[in-house]
Amino acid sequence: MSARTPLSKEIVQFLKSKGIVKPTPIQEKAIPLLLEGTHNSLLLAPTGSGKTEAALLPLLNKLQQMSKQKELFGFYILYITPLKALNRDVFKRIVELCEHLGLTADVRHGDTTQYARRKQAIYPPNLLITTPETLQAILPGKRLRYHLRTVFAVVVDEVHNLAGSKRGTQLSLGLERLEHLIGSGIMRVGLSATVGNPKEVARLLGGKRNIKTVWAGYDNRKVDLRVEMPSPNDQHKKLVKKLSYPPHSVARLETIVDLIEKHQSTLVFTNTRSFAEVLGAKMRALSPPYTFDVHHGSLSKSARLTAEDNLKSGVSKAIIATSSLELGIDIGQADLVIQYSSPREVSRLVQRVGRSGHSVGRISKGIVISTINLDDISESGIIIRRARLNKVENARIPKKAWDVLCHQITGVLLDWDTIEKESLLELVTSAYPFSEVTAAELDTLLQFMEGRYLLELHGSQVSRGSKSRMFYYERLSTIPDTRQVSAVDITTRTSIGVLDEDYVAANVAPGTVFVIRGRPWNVINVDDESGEVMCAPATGTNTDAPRWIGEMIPVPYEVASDVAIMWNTILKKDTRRIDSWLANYGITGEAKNHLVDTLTRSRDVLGELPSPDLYILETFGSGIVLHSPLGTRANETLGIVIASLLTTRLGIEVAVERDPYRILFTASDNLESNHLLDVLRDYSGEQASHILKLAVKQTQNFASRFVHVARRMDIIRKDAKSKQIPVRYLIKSFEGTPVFEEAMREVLDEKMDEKRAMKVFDRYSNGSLEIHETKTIGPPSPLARLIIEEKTRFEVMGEITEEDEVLRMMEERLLSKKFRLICMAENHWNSVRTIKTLDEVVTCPICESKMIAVVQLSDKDFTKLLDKRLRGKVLLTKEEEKKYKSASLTAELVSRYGKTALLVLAGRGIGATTASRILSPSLKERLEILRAIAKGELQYERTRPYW
Amino acid sequence: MTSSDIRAAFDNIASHISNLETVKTIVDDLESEVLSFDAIIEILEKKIEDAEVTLRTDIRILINECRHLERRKSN
Repeated sequence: MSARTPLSKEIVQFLKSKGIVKPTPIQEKAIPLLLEGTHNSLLLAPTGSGKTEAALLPLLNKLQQMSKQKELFGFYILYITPLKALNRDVFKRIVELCEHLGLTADVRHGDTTQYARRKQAIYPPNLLITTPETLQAILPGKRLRYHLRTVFAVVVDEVHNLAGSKRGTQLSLGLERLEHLIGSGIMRVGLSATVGNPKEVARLLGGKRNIKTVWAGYDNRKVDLRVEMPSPNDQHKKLVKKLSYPPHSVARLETIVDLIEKHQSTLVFTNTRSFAEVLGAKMRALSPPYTFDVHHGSLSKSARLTAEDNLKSGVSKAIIATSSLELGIDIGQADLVIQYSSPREVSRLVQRVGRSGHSVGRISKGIVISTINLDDISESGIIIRRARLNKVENARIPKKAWDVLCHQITGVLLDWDTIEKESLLELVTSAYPFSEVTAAELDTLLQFMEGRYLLELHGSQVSRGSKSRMFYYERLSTIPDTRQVSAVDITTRTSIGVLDEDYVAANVAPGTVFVIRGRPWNVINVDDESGEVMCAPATGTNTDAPRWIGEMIPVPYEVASDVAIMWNTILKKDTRRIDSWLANYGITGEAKNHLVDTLTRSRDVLGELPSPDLYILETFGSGIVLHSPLGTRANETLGIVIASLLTTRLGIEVAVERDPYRILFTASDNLESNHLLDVLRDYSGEQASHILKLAVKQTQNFASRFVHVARRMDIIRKDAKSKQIPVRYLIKSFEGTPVFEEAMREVLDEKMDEKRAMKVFDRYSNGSLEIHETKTIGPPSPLARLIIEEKTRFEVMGEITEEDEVLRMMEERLLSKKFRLICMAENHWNSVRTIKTLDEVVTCPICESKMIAVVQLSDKDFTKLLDKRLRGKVLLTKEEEKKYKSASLTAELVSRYGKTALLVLAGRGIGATTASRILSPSLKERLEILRAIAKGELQYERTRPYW
Repeated sequence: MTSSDIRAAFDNIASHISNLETVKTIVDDLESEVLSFDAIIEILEKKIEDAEVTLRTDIRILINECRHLERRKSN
């Protein structure tokens, strides 16, 4: 610290002994401000710029002065972080200084031992580092409540992380309760690296008080970001079989392995846990000359700690991680961050890349490894550009979350036993997320709570109910309480991991294939009693499309619309200037070529490209694609509303799929583009909003949210199993109550973008939005194919592309299958052929008949049987007749579907009858066919034991 | 510090302590005597020395509260 620093001489000496002589920009600004002791503040600075010290040094300075005047007894500073692991790190960073100053510090969270808790009650640490949930737990605690009365400052670290969830909402009211307990104002300090709406986040932290926002250090931050799209070379193609991994994936894998080798320590981020595992397993198969670990939320605490320590101590060179390593956990000095596939949100990229060069003055280096997918490349580019400009998404602060308020009211009643309604309303509305709660709304909630014995109402007084205490302590956490069930390897009877009960209920049945621990597993049975999922290693089917467990990361509107603007700009640009322009987005080389080429081909087919003011309605063979670059949430909303209106109007079932850039509508009956346009023209945004609520009520998503909210509001026992809950009945019974309203708010606020989708109806009617119609004869446009061929893309982009590639691998297997082909018409052609070598239309080279039977290679004698049948003089045996019929059916299929029929017949366990069920004239898209084959093979696997 | 002050301090902390009866007896004893603030604190600090660990914290809480009330009075 500089000589001018107003910090105490003991602090300055300590810092000097650690080699710290100069404050970072945020410290320079924040320390004098906080030393004044009167300002609430939100400190915003990049990751690794010393925010923790910027907040704690002045506060510890004040505490040290206080200790000189009187004996300290109680908690004085609360430091709140969203993660237990962060608690640990902050403690390590600050404990030495505290000891030097004669102050005490300790950590308290869910894993703190009973012994340590008792010790804290007797000797309260002056600085308590904790989580928001633990603060809730200690607020009404007998002894700790007394110790809290001395608190003069609360620091909330990584405040953006809490702001976007109910954890932040709960904390904001928790802080009001704390202040009420203390009886005087507490200093509130928020810390964040990435927040798009600092003013609103400041209000979340400070309620009605003024909060100063302090920005620093963003100008000095050096970031090196780029997109890379590796393409396979001959070496990669050789590795395909060895690794059982598609060529493009191998190319990406090799690129990652090389990059890690060239750097000191690397963090590889994936979008889901299961893919982190897959990548880890494939990397291990390549035996790189260094060690690395996998790190995600489903791994045990010790496994995660080992991974962190290995990287920090230099034992390993890399960690493959998910968001588990996004927040500021200290993992030492990573000099490279690799993001596998688009991060989908700017804040995610900023957080992740901020993990490299994680110290003052170092360059953050990040590479997005993109798949060969236009959306993936352009989205990554836009996110890089926005990250460079620090245009981060807004934290979506949940407002009027009734389940949180219900819990907090019971907390208030534990604090005071009885409170006047008016005082309660005043307390509630002092927290920003509840600032607009009306007396009538509060009354409705109180009455609901009274019915659940959570409180008692006596005129204007609200007092503690018989269940208040139990309810409060059982529901301290607002994190969705998803029950987890074990997946057990039936062969060894050992646990292979845990699965969310919701996922199991919705997706897992005997025969399902899913991936955990980097390998596919076949579900044999799901135990009704314990809920355990009994699995066996999916041998032989590991190239089939596995089910992925992962949650969707929505692409925000701002990113999606910027992507569309980028597409249009690229095609308008002088080709000589494209390279330098795209370099601003980190897009060069192969990625640039693929991007420009796909866009050019799309424009050739569509005539123009979609933009925020011009959508394109593309009709193709089996459906309609609305190219609407609105982002995931708005397209989800628009899709649901249009589909339900079409279903109501036309009386046909309309299926809808969406991604951030387009919506795909398919129907069993004839669906025309003008049907869609009529709907958009005939309804106003307001009417559409009403339809949306009616439609949402019927969705699985709403039912699942309802269960979570109902658990949090004491309608459903916390330990009730999903299968035992009569969800539809409960939804109907509780319609109009705060439980129902909250579930609806959750779905609309978190999963949908009602406002933006409704605006589409209004904008189309008033002419400010154009929608051009186009019909593609032949294959759909490359842009439409991104959703048609990757219907499951709405899961997670990176992984879906993997699914696509897994299917491609399966196709390769099918194409290499050999069959004996026999001319059924004349029996004069009998040839063994590999499917790959055949034309689309398969004919007899002698007579050009399309009636070609497909039999196994071993069926050499089929020609004799056919001869007998053709001559018609000798009767066939029952067995021979069966063989003949089956061959005839294959010939019929080949005559109608050509090579596709052979591809389907090449599927494991798929005979002529099953093939005839799979094949249909509407099955045209390649990936759709492959998926149907995969499904057929899965069916065979599932039923094989009964054959 | 008057006898009513030590009673007020006790009332404030009663809901936070574990050894209610013991602390009440201590307060009753102190209340019956006319003592200065420093004398009260001294007696209480002495009692800490032989007390069992949870009682020790209870007495520290009482001392803390007495100091708090005294500060408020002098302000």
